[in-house]
Amino acid sequence: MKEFFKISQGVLSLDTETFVNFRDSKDVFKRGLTILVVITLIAGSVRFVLDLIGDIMGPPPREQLKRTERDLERTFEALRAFPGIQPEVLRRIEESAKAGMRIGFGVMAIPTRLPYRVGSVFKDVGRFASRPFVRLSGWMFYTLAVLVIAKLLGGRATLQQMLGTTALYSIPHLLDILGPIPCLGALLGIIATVWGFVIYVKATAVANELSIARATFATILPALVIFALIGAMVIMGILIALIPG
Amino acid sequence: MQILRLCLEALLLREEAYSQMSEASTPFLKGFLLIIGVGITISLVGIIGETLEWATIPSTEEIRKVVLEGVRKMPWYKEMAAEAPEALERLDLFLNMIKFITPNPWRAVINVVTTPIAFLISWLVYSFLAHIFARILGGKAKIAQTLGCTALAVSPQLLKLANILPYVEIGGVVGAWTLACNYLAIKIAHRLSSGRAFWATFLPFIIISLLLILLIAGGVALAIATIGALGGKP
Repeated sequence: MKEFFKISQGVLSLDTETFVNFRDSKDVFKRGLTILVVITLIAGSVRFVLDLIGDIMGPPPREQLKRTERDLERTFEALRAFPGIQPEVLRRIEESAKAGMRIGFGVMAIPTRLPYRVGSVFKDVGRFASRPFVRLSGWMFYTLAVLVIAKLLGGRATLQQMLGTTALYSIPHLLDILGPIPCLGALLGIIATVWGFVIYVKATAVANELSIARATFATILPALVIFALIGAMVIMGILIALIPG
Repeated sequence: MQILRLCLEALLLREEAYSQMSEASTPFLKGFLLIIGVGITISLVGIIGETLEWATIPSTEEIRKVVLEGVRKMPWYKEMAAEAPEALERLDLFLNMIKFITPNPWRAVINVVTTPIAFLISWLVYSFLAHIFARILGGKAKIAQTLGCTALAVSPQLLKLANILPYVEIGGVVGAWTLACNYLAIKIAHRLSSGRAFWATFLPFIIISLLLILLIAGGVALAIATIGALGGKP
């Protein structure tokens, strides 16, 4: 625990020696992986507990339907005050929304083999347990791509060093624990993302013994390629849609 | 027990595990047993998670009834029934197909047989291609050593043990991790440099992807030609 705080302090302050020591440590991949998984679980713990309480103590589906219907009526009441929206169109949208909602709650109210609340708790536990896998998926694929680019730029990291050292980017994401707080949670999320990005670049530079400029390029390039591919596909889709016939 | 230890070490990308497998007396047999063992284990564990998930969702027939009843109460239902009755038929068809994507314990039981077979096929095809490319690039290993080492790349599948819990999504991490393990397996078994090992690891994927695209394109072309020959409009 003491060692973890020491590493965190060094990483958050972008201390080069901490990164170098971590890169050269025995079992760097296992250490990085452990940090990433533990932080992701801690960061999601408050949301998990809140979801769990909400699902255990929350109202049954029939009561939820009544509340949601009331909220929907209030929304449409407010919309009626706007000039320019045809009342007939609004009425139809409202009726369709209510009917769709009743279908959703109707499905929720169908008896299941295990009680409804047990299912809700399972879903919360499943969502919580999935968090590290989701984070690992994105991080691992992206880091493999960054490693290839870094190698082309003269990088010297081994696979284990690259994966282990870049996993340190997850440390600022401890701030995500405050995610459920309105406004502040989102702001802290942005801070954690930016801070995490800076740590990722530093980790790439140290692991590969590259300059910060080259490491930044290696980190950004895969994202640029992904955006370019998505952009090209969207443009192609639009062009195909515009072709007559 | 030794093979399980090797598997866990391979998962943590420890190079000693791959070296040990490469130098083992019967790497192919060990790899074969490992793949079968991992395939059966994760499938058995999957039955628990799948059954728990199945027990917390309503029957698909009930869902179908509720949705169709709800749609009939929609304000636009009468107009739609008169103008586009086929849309309602399509909805019914879609609702009937839900049962194929919802959790099903019997399907999970069948996986105990199909998963190890699928693992074996993909392992043999990939390893064979990777071996050829590695040898072209100057690799030194025998085919049994390649097979033994690449069998260790099945270790990320152990992450699916988390599926003992219902509603857990593993995502793409298994694919990325397997890629990393395969890279180490080829690099160490064939004693290749990083660059050559990279190409020997990736080229089989490119070949397999191209073959799949050709196969799908051929299937589509054949289907269109058959429809045309039967007198229908493609």
